[in-house]
Amino acid sequence: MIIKKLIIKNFRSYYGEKVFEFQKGLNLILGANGDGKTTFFDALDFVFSIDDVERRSFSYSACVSKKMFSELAPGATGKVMVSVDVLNSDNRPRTIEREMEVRKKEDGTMSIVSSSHLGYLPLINGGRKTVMVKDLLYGEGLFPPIIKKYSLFKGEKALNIFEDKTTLKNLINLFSDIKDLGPYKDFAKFGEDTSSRAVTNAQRKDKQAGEAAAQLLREKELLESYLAQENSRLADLRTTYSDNQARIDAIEADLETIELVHGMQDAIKDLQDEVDILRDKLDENYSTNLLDRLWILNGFQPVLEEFAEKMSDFSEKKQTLINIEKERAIREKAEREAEAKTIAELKAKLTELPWYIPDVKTMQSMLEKERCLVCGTEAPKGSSAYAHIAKHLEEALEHINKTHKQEHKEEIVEELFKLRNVESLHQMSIQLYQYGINLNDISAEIEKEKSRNDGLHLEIQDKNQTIDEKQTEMARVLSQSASGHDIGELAGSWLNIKHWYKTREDASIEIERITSKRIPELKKKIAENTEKYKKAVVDITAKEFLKINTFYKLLGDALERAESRTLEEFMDKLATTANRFLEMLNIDDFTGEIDISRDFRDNSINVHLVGSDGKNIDNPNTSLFTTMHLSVLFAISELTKDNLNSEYPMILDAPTSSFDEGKDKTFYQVMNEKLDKQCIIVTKSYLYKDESDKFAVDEKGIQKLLSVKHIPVYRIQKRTGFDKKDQSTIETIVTPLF
Amino acid sequence: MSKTDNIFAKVISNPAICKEYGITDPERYDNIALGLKSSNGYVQAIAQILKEVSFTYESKRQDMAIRHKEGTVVLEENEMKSIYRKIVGILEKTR
Repeated sequence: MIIKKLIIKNFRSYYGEKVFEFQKGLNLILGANGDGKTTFFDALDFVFSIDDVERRSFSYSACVSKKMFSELAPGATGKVMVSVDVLNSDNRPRTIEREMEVRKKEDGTMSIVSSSHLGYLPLINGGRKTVMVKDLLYGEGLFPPIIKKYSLFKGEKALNIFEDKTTLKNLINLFSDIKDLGPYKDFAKFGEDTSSRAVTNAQRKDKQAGEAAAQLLREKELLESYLAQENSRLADLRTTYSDNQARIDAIEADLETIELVHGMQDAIKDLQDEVDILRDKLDENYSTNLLDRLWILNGFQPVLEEFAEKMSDFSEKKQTLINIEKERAIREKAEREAEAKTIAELKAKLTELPWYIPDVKTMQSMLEKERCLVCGTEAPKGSSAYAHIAKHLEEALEHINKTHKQEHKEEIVEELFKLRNVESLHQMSIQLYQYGINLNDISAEIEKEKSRNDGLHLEIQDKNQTIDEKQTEMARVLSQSASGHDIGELAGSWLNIKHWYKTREDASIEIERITSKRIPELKKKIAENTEKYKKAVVDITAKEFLKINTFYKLLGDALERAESRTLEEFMDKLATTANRFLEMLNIDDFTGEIDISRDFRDNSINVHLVGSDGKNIDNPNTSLFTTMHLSVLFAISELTKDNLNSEYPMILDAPTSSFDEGKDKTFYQVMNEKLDKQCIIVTKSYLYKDESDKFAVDEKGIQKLLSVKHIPVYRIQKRTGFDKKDQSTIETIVTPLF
Repeated sequence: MSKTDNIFAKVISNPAICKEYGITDPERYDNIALGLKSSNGYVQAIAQILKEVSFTYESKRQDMAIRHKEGTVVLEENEMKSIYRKIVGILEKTR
């Protein structure tokens, strides 16, 4: 199939009708970023896609040229179309058109009026016959989806088709004979099962069959069930391996970074924990400590000392007073005793009072009787005699009371100090003085506390600074994600990632054990058991069925082996063809050799470069990596020609974006010179920025390229004078060069 | 050489088949037609299987293509039984 002509009409930035004509060999579309390269690619994808088959749908409204739509009057309609003229594998012209009509509603919004996707066959009379697109794509093999998948590549990264684990299966289905073995294998299995049941039935019927044969049959069934279990387990393990490999592949490029970030996260967390511990140790409750820890008493020591001194003086004075008082009391007591002694002596010497000197009792009786008992005269109340008696009685009583009061005076003096307040105060002052000595330590304690807190603050500050530095370093490392994954999140899941590796490793070891040991052992035992069983079976019918059973079993094994050989042949062929292209595309450059091998653990295909020593070439440069992928793709394309008797164009969007300027031109030079298939490439190679900072075509480079062979070269670019914020002003213009 | 011939050649040259069924010159069987004419009943049976299965499979595949049907072609049990019986007939004659 060759694409001859492509018409893009009102498709996104391709305003109006733009025409490209192509030929076999290299075709170049030159455009800078934003000039419509990807839209060109998408237009081709749009016209060749069958949405329901590929399980996707184009957004029709997104395909409409904003400029065309903006120019529509309300109620008017406009047409969007992509049309491609091709030659099929028999060199017959065919056309595929995908179009739609849109209307601008009164409110300015868009409605899709109609859409169609049709194929056309030219008629002799100049007309054309309409056919279904599927009939062309499948019936005539014009870019069926599975071929398109390995022919259209958007961007350099998409060239690595083997990242997709379904690729091997698809390629084998497309190009190898392996899929053709499926029905035969199914039939061989059917034959083996059917004949096995026949053997069993015959054996059961055969009364001569011994217990040994029956036992062997049971053993065989058991061994076969073990084998089935191992195969099932193998399939599970391959899935596990494949799943974890896919996870690892996705992050492999960032693994070291993730591990580094994980270490940093741990270190930062440890530091933060240390900061938390230090913060817990801080005690800066200075205000509450004034009362809680009596810091408020700081400076009270001189006051308490003075208080103690004064109380000591006071106590001494009190003691002096007590002593004086004691001396006085002793002296008075001695005086009283001397007085009493004198009185007693005097009393002893006293004569009885004369009758005319009455005592208190007599005088009281005299007042009661109102008669003087001394003289015997009446002394009625109010008389001078009564008053005389009363006066004497009063004097006598006063004298007695005075004496009595003097006796009690001593006791009162003693009671003045009985509360012992002075002693208590003195004692208190001593205690406070002792306490005051300790108050001298408060200053030191406060100073020590403050110094400790200052030390902790410094330590916290240091650690916070280290944390900041580590976080800055971590942010720098995070920005270096090679895969575009969130490294921080992945680092947080470091244990999961370790688990992926471990699970993959465990699965790999177990797959190795099962495939290299367990399954061969079981197969050997089954084979031995079958041999024994053959000898044990004596019944002629059973023996006959057994022969048939053996035949199918051998056929099944032979088909398995043929499948394996076919796969190896396919990979050899793919590698040989790919290496031919690799050598061609890397002229004058080191290439190594493409090695294509199958990973038996998950049935995936590994493509890598090996040196002459047979060892893998680690980290090949991007351009070599890209040419390796392109070589494999060209090889696949070549296999298409051989196996499907049809050739398909390769359509590549910016495949050489990582190439340096010299390398990409050499690449296109070689492509033009040596490539014998249609290849349409949209690229910004051969464009450079001139003095006015605008993209210009490297005419010398193009002339050199065309000197080998004339090829179609188109320049696509945005029409100047557009409004950067208004999509309806954007228009891609197409200019054929040379 | 068709794909089926290719498969036939690979199966016939399998060492276990050669040993079990006394095939000493497997390289001469490079197509199914030769296998069908072989005096070795086992070689004949293998060729017959490939021919019958291939024919049934291709018929079904084309039928699906005409009807624009997607999916895998699967041989039905009755179709396989029919082929199986034919093969048992060939093998029973081979003693």
